[in-house]
Amino acid sequence: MITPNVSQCLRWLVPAQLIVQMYQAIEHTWIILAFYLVCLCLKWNQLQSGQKAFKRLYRILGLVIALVIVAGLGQSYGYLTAVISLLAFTQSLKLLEFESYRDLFGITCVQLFLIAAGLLLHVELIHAVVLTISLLLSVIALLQVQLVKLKAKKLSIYASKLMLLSLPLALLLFFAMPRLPPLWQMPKSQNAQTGLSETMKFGDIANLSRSNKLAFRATFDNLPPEQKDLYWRVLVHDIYDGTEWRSSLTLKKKPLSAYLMSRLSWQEQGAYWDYAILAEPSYQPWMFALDIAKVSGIKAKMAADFTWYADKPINQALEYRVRSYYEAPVQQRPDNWFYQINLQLPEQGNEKTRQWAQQLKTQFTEPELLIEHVLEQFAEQAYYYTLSPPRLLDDQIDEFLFKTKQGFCAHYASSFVFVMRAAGIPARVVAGYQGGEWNPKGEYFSVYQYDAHAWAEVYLPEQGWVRFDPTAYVAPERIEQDLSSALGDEEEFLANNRFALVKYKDNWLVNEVRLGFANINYQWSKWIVNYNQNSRSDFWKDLLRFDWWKLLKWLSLAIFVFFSYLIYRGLKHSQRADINKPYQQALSILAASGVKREPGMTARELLPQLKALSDESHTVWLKICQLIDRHEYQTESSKIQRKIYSHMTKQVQELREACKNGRKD
Amino acid sequence: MQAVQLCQQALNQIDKVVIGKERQVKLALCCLLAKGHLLIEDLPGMGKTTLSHALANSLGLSYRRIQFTSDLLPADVIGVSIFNQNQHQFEFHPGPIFSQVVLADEINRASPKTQSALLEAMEEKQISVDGQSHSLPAPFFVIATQNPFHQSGTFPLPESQLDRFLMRIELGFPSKDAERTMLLNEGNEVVADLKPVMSIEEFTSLQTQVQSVAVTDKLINYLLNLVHESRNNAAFDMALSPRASKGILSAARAWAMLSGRDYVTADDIKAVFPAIAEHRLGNGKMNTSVSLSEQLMSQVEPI
Repeated sequence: MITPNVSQCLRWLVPAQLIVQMYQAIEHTWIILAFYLVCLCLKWNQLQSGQKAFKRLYRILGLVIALVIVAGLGQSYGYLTAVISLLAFTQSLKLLEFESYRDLFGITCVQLFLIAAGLLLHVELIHAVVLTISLLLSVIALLQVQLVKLKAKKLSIYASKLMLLSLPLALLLFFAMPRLPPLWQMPKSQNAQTGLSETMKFGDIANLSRSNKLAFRATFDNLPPEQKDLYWRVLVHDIYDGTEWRSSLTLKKKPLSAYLMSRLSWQEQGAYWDYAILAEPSYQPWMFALDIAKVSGIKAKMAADFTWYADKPINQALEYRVRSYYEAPVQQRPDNWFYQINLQLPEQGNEKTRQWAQQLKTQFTEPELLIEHVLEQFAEQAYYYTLSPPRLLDDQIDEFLFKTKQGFCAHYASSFVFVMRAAGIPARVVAGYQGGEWNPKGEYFSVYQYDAHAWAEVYLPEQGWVRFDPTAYVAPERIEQDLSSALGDEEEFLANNRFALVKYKDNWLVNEVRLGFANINYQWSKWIVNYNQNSRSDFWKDLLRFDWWKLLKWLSLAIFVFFSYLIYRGLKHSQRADINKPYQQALSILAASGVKREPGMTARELLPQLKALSDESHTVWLKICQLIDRHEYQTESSKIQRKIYSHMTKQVQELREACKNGRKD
Repeated sequence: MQAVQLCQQALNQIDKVVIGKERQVKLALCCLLAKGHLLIEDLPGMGKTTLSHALANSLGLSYRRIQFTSDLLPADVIGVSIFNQNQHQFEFHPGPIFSQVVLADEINRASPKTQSALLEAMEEKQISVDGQSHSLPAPFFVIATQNPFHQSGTFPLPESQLDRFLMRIELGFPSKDAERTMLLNEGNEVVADLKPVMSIEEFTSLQTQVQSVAVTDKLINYLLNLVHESRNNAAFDMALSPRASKGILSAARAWAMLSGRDYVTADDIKAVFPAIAEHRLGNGKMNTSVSLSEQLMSQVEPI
């Protein structure tokens, strides 16, 4: 049994563990990291002072403390946190009692689990790289125990080579393993849900705009549309209760949805955009699409308001194709239901706005003129577009329209819809994203959470549903360029995210680097993370057609075969070299029978002793001696050497028998 | 005739006159097959001369004996140039060293100057007198005998000169049975009557065959481990030289051939190792309780 040099091992192990512990600490709770650091300090102290291993009592005490904390975390953060912290605590406690090779093995196993756990939630390239480094470090720690004298540099080269050797297998698994849908629902951690939520309050979208997390990417087949046409619809809110907007048409209410669908009249006609969306995990079912869209490539349903829902929440990067008919008009045969939903307002409240709407209604007979007038009001009066509007109390719309006049897109959209409804024009709020950043290197749009937006749709009898964006009248820069240009000088874009590179995009170099990295990440998600069932079946179709992608796959297959051959040869070689193994077995059998072997003795030098033991064992041992001589000292082909090896194992068995018989005699 | 059988015949024949010393006889033959010079160390009257004479006779080699004494001069060994008055020039008269097997009896009784003359000849396989070099016959072997150091009137060979001898063996007292046979002379064999069992050509072809006995990496590793152990382990005052390791390999090959194999095993190395290594490791005295070469072999595992 090897006893590892603990402190030498820890040099590699600690950074590896810190990485994974850090991931879980950021994802779940800092208690995880704190616990690890405490254990590390204790271990360090033990090593420095040269004390012996911790007593059983202390170890049990540590376990009890850990379990209590886990139980507490489970109560307050949910059971995913509890499970992960249990793993992390296991690692910390195992570190505390790290003495033997066996312990190291356990530590490494837990480490692998934690690395996998890190990859569950962080699929970007950079995380893959960091976690691979952690993996490499733990492999080095394992190797260090075996190769004590090796220097750090050689060791890391050796470990890297080992990991490269495992690459062919990884590639095979990646390409050939079926991607089964998970048998159980992956529990999501509490702050994992990102993006728009089912309801919309005034401040929600402004809050979202402080995040520079990626929402999705879009790649257009042909010429991409202009910025101002990029209204990514996600959710339609048509019920207002005085404080927040909700959707009536979720898929849950199937009969209603089906009924409304039947009353729609629209055709897939006119000009369209074809594009692919690569959505980041949002843990929500709703999808992103422009205008009237048709989604293909995954299982999804369209609601009567033309928003799309996936069958399952988007828990991992998801790619789907969309065709958007941006000119197709949507007619609807209005009925009671329709008016009831799209003219719905709370019973009371916001009286001032209602009065204004009534006044407008008498002033303008044509709804188009009324809409134009309201929008002009936004443009002409002192309305101000800001990320941090003053807090609104009761009668939010009144207060906003006539008093504070400072708001974000949600304020404008919901006030506009409120006015429309009060004036008897059917209208609804649409939440989604507007715009996106064009990446010229990868030729795609990146849409971030700060692109979140809300606008309005109004139903005009002749034209059907028409999009109006009141924000465009208040802050046209928001629509034509992006959020950072729309915000005034005194307001900082992504104020609480000091290191977001997007803030420095006026600097040419920073911007180039940022876009370059974004593109690498995009390719990574597109080809690696999102390599799913669909692209896999493409692989087999590709075998019939030639293209470079196919070539790449074949090349990796060839590399795999080559490496497998190398491994095969290596195994054969080691088998040939390893006659020592059965020889040592034989020696231990002899030792049990009382044959004394002095150090440095050859097999033949033991013959006289075996003669004294029994004739049978003497004969067998003579055969073993001949086999060893042939194997070690005669230049034989590897085939014969393997035969000799198998003979050897047989002879060792016979020796065992012979010695047994000898003892009975 | 096959190499093994030839060698076996020679061994059998020598064993008839040097009774009960099969191992030493085999080592001596092994030494000659490996083209090495042999040093036999023992008390007087143990059969040293008999062994060397029997070897030369059985192998069909010419044999001369030089008795080393303290007043022996180099010229007595290698020969002298004498002025021939008829032809008015110097004429070289070869000494007893011009023979295929030279028995240098009691080498440590002669002065260092005489010793070194002999040892130079051993190394160079030629001698120079008055600026003229004279080749020694081939094959050329020196079998030297010496008395143990504790005997009076000896000049011990320095280490550098001990290294010239491939092997040092000792004969030791015969067993009771062997001595009985010797006394009764049941074999009725006399050294002078021994007939050669092979021609000189056969002998030299045997020498070349020795060099083609197969060795594997494993074996070389074992040999290297032994040699390096002697250099790295502080227990050994003197390390084994590359000449020693070359000698061990040649001798092990010869031993393998004598044992009828065409490949060398670790046992072959262990068989010849003490004879080659002991005097090089600085153990001047034989018959000490601790054998340095045994100690060295116990430090290195064959597999």
